[in-house]
Amino acid sequence: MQDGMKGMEARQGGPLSFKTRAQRFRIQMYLRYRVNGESKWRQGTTENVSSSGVLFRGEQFARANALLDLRLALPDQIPGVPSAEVICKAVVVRSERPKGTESFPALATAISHYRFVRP
Amino acid sequence: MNKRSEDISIVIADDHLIFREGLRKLLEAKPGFQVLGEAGDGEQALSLARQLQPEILLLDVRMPKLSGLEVLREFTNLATQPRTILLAAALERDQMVQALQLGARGIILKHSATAVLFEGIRTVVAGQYWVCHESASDLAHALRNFTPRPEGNGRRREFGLTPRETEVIALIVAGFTNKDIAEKFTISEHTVKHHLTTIFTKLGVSNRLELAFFSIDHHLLDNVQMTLD
Repeated sequence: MQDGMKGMEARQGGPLSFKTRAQRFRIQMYLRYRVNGESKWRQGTTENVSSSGVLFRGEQFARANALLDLRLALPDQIPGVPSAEVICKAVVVRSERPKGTESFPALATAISHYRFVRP
Repeated sequence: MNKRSEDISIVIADDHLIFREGLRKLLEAKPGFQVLGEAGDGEQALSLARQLQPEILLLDVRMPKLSGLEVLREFTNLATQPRTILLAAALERDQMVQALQLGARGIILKHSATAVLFEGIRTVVAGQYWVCHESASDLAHALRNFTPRPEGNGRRREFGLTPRETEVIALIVAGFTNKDIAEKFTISEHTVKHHLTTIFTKLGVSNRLELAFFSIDHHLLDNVQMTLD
């Protein structure tokens, strides 16, 4: 595992394992993202999420194969118990510029690593 | 007035005549927008929205007879409701959350630039939500402290989750490691892992992230009370 990603969970899979498809959930969550190597974080909102990837609308377009840092804000579930932020390394697998009356590009990403961070 | 099919049809609801007329002129000067009608109070807004069925209702939050939020509440009883953008000079955090809970698709402050208004309308018509920049950080903070509360107990029973398993899920969502959970409950990490294995099997998930998403999507932690002390 590379330095800087210690403690991150990599997605599992080996020659004898069956990879079942990750469940996809239509949850809207606030996220921040930036292209790997940049300092500025952009804002976005998820359209659907799974443990293998996130589809979101973001304020800035990113081309396919771009490496992203994502910070997903899990919604608070219990009063007094703040939810974690999930920090991910991801790659853009598909991106679409806004069409027609849409304002924000859609970015479909595949997560390679993630870790939970307590607030 | 006949609706031009290619234009975005709008009803404006604001009790200040000068503001309403100014907004109308602004929208009508811009290609792609058509103002179908104007309302001077909340009751009129409701009536016009039902009658004219605009794509967008620009709704002032403070109006006589029915406030903007009360109009939104009335809409929840209708089979179809227009996509509503709330206009306000200023809005409290709680009001923003309440507006979105009641179905508002956008919030625009009245001192925003006209370009923001046009962009906001187009974004909402496209099926997205629009919250203007000044209120976004407030809203994000407020939304982090809000979740709907349907029947959490029922969902947990449906999946056969024990109270301890529910607590473990809660701590996973809060970002606790296995070691943290073990310390909190004064149990071994091996026992925590056993709990997780059982939880994963009961819910059909494969990892912590999927578990977190599952619990949010299924409202598993609704009505759970616990502290981190």
